[in-house]
Amino acid sequence: MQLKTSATQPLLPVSLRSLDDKMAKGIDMTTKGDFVASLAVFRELIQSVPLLALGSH
Amino acid sequence: MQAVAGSAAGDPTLRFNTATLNADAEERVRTLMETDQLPLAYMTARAHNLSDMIEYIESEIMDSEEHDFATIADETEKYLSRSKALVPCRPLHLTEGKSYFTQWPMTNLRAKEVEKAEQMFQKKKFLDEKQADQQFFDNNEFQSANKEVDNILRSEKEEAAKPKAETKVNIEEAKWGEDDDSLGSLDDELEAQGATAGTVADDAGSMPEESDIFVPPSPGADPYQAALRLNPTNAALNIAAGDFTRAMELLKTQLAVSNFAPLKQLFVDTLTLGRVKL
Repeated sequence: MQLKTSATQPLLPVSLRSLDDKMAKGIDMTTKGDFVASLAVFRELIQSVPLLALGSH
Repeated sequence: MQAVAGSAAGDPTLRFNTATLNADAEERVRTLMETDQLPLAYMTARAHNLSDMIEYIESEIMDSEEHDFATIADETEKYLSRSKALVPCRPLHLTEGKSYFTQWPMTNLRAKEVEKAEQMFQKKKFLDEKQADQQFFDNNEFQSANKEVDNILRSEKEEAAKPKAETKVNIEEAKWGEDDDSLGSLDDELEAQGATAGTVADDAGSMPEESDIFVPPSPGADPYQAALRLNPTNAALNIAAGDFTRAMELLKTQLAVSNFAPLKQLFVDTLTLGRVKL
């Protein structure tokens, strides 16, 4: 686990990396044919986007 | 209270309100009569069965040209059927009837002021005494009627105040090899150093502490607020700072979010996970 030692923003549960992970998970489930679970993952992904905080760099 | 209201002759409203609070129907009728509200005074007197006043007001109404007694009587009969007594506020009861004999807890402001003034006076007196002592010692320090003794004392004081001049070594006069002092052993040096260190430690330990009370340093700026100040329109930062209402307003205006139920857990996670301490 890598921790930030300095940051301009607080540690938030939603980050670009977590969204990437969810995207990959949803695509993987769609590929496997588990459409119900993939739909839940994609919905969660969309709901998480508004709570994303990004810096200028 | 009624006496105060009565003394305010130019304020019939105050008199009427006070009479209502005191449940003094006669005073109310009297106030209405004095302000030329004869129909109201008549109705009030009838409602409270004040027969003496009823007769007097009836005669006044009949004598006046602007009032019609028949109309007023009809209206009075109509309203009397559904009249309701204006009962003043019920006092608080501790136990049965005890509230009438119990004093309300009141702060004696005058006594407080006196106490405060006394404290200030004592403090001033203490400071004055301290100042007087200081002046006394300043005046008496190293002063003597004998000038010679005074000069000696002053010179001693000046010498003591002067920092000790560093001992200068005349290099030309210094000769190598003439001193008989041996270099000494390493153990002696170490012992001497240990003794010196111990003395220093003792000195440090004997330094007077200012206070036993730990005064924590003042907290710095809130990092959440600092991040929020840089980007105040970000919903996630508002949630992390704990301002859910503002975050919901932002989401509503920016993305037209109306159903926040699915986002509830994300809101809670954002708030709580940002405060995790490892």
